[in-house]
Amino acid sequence: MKTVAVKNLVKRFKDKVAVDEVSFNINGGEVFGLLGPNGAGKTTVISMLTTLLQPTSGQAAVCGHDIVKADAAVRRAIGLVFQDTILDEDLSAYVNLDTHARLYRVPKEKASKRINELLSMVELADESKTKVGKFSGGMKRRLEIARGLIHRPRVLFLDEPTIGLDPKTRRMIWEHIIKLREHTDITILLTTHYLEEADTLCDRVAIMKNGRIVVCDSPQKLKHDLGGDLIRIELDRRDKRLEEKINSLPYVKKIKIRGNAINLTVDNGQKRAVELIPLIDTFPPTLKSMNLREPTLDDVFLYHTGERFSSSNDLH
Amino acid sequence: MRWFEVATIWRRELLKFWADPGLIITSIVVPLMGILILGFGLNKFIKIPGLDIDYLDFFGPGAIAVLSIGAAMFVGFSIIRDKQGYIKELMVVPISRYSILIGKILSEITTQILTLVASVAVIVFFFLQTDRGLEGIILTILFMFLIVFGFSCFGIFISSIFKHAKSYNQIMVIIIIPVSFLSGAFFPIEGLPTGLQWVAYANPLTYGVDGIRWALIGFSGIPIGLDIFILIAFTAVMMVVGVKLFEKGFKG
Repeated sequence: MKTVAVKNLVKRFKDKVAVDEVSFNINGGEVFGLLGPNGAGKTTVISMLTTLLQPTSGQAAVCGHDIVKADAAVRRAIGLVFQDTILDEDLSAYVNLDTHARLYRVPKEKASKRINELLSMVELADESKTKVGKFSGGMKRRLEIARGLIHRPRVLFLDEPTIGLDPKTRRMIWEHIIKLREHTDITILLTTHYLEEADTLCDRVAIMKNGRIVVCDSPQKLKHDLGGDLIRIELDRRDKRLEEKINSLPYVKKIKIRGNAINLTVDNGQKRAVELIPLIDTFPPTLKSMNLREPTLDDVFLYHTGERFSSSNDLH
Repeated sequence: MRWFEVATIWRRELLKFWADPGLIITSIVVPLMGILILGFGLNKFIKIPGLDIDYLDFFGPGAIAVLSIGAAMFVGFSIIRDKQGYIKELMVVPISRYSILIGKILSEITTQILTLVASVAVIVFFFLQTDRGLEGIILTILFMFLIVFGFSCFGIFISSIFKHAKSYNQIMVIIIIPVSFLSGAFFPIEGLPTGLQWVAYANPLTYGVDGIRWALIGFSGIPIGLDIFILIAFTAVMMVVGVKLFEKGFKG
C-alpha cells in the first residue's frame, strides 16, 4: 500500500480549475516535493489531502484512508504545518505544544516527555517558557514543525516550510527536515517554489504548473534525463565552420546558437570542456569565456514547460 | 462533540485571556468610564416623566445591558479574527467542528461575563439605590447571560458572512448603534415616534433592558415572563443559524 495515493484529483473553483487531473503516489518514509511557481495548485492539493477542502472529482487516500469518506481517520494520521504562521503568540512554546497534545488526547505524562523531546529536537528547549510572540520567524517555524509531530503522525505535510525566511534560517529548517528523514520513518510531503529546496530535500519531486503535474521523478533522474552537462562557449564573433565542426562531434547531443554564444549539451562535461579549448583555438574566433555546469531543476522546468522557473514566479 | 475537546479549546482561550492583563483592564475600564460619565452628566438635568427615581437609577440597568451587548459583539470579532488562523489549524485536528465552535463561544462568554461582572459590581454597589437584594443580582446575571449568549450567536452568524475582521467591525457598528439606542436603555421607548417604537419592540435588547431594570429597581414596562421568553427564543434561533453558517463557512 502506498502511504499517499492520489488518482485523477480535480479541484474546480467557480470559474477556475485549480488542480487538474493530478495523480501521484508517495512511498512510506519518502520526502516528496510538489514544486511549482505561485498559483500552480500546490496548496490546493495539500488542502484536499489534509481534508480541509473537498475535491471536485478523483480519489486520494492517506495511509489507506479515503480523504472524503474517512476524513477523521486521515486527520488522525497526519500532521500539517501551514504556509502562514499559526501560533498562540501570547502563550509559551510549551503551552502551544501542550494544547495540541491535549486535542490529540496524548496522555499527560507521555505528552510532557514528548514535548520536551521535540523542543530539544528543534533546538528550542531553552525557550520552552518564552512567549512565542518573542520568537523570530525561524524559531516559530521550528516550533510549528514540532507541533506537527506531537501526535506522532505517519505523514507530515509542510506547505512552503521556508517561505519568507532568510537563507541562513532556511538552511537550518532544511537540516531539521533532513534529520527527520534520516532518523524517523515518517513520510513527508512538502510544497515549495524554491528549486534548491526541492533539490536538497526531496527523494522525489513532482513539478506542477497551472494545476497539472508536468513531470515527476527524483531530482537526479530529472536532471540526468536532460541528457548531460551544459557547456556555454562565448566567442568574439560567429563562425559557421566552427559551429559545423562542433555540431559534428560525436559527444555533442544538442547544440543551440545564441548570437556569439554556443550552448551545448554533452556527456561527461568536464572532460569535453578540456578537449574543446584547443579545438576552438584552431579556428579564427577568439574564445572569450567558457562555462560548464550540471543541469539544475530550473533547466528541467524549462525543458518541460518551455519557460524559465523564475519568470513564471513573479512574486520572487 | 466530546467534552474534553470543548474543555481544551476553552482552556486555551482562558490561558490567552489571563496572559494579557492589559486587555482585561481596558475591557472593563473603557466602557465603564463612558457610561459613568454619561450617567453622571445627565443625572442632574434629566427626570424621567412619571418615574420618581434619579436618572442614574434608570440608566444604570440599561448601561449593564448595553455593556453586555458590546461584550457579545466581541465574540464574533474574536471568531472572525481566528478564522484565517487558529481555527484553520483546529480544522486539521481530529475533533468535531461543534467542539471548536462551542468551546470558542463558551470561553468567550466566560471571559466576557468575568469582565462584565466586575463592571456590574461597580455600577450596582456604588451608583444604584437598589433594594432588590440577592434575588435582583441573580436575575440580572441571568439576563446578562441571555443577552451575551444570544448576541454572541448573532455575531457568529454575521461573522460567517464576512471574511475579514474589518468588514465585520464596520457592519457591527452600523448594527450596534440603533440596537443600543432603541432599546430603552438611555430613555423610555414610549417617547419615540410610533415607527421607531415598533423598531424598539422588534429589538431583542429592549427585553433585556426591561428585564434588568425590573431585577434591579423593580420598574418594568413589559411582563417579565415575556422578557425571558423572547430572549431565550432569540438565543435559540441565533444559535441554530450561527452554527449552521459557521459550519458552512469552512466547506470549500
